[in-house]
Amino acid sequence: MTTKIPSRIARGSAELAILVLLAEQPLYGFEIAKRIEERTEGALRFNLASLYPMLYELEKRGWLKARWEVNRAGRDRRYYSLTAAGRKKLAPLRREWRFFFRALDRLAGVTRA
Amino acid sequence: MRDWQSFVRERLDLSALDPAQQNEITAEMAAHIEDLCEDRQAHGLCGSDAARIAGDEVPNWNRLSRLICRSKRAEPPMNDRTRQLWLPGFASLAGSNLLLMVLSCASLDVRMVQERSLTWFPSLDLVAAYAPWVAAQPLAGALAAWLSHRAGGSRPVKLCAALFPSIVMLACWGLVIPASAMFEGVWAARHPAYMLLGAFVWVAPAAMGLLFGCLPFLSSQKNAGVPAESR
Repeated sequence: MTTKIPSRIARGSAELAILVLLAEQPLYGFEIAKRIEERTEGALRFNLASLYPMLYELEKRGWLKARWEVNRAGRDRRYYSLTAAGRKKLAPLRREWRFFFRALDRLAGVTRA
Repeated sequence: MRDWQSFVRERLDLSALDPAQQNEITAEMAAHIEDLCEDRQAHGLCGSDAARIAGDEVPNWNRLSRLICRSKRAEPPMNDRTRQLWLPGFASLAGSNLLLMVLSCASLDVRMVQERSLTWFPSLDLVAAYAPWVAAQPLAGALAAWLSHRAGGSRPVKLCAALFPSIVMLACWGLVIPASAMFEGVWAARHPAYMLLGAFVWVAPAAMGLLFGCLPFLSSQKNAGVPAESR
């Protein structure tokens, strides 16, 4: 059984989740949300209200860029891809989260729970 | 098929953004809901259920509108401290000193002032330039406090911005004027009481005037344009 991660925790991880996915290939908003849900087996789920403000924020920071393209179904979709700055940000972000999980584990034994 | 663009446009308030951005965001949101609806239908939900679920994607449209506008808007070119303190302070300083310069040029003969200002008692023409300048200080104080108030400055910041000309004048009398007088060998530098009197005359009454001008703006507090949650 998969437990859904509470939104207050999910919100903090959204940045990493989005950057990790877009490092693989350009995706549009719905695809990003769907892939996050699939890859985390439903534990992390971003809806329209939580996803787009984050995408726009990352775009403003210059970590993502977006352009309209036609998807496989022949519809116009706004595809997001990582910029060089975003790609550069990914490694330190991964390190930060690893550090955070280890620290949390030492404190609360989360992996043994 | 439902018109999702109209659905989004009716709910999302993007009036703070330019029309091109509004259209793009609306189209993107509508596309997301459209995809979601089709995905739900592919998983066996009927059309109306899928539409209801897609509509439920946003629990609070007002909040989403605010978040999107905040994310899309360019960073303000100036930070809060610049808008609330430095800009009003320098506007007040410029106003105050410009007035002093105009009054000096209009009413004083420089050579006469140089001769007469070395006495303990001010001459009438010095008073003629000085008195209107002091009298006009409330305007400079009010200008600074109003600018700071408009930018959401706190009470101490508004006060600081309003008193900025006097703070600068105090720095001049405390540091710059004694140092330059000593270097130039002016006799006044050897008479601290004379320097203190000069500092008092040029700082205290002007500060009182500035304070008087900013008083109406000290009582009320105004939030800056940025939503509280973004600070």
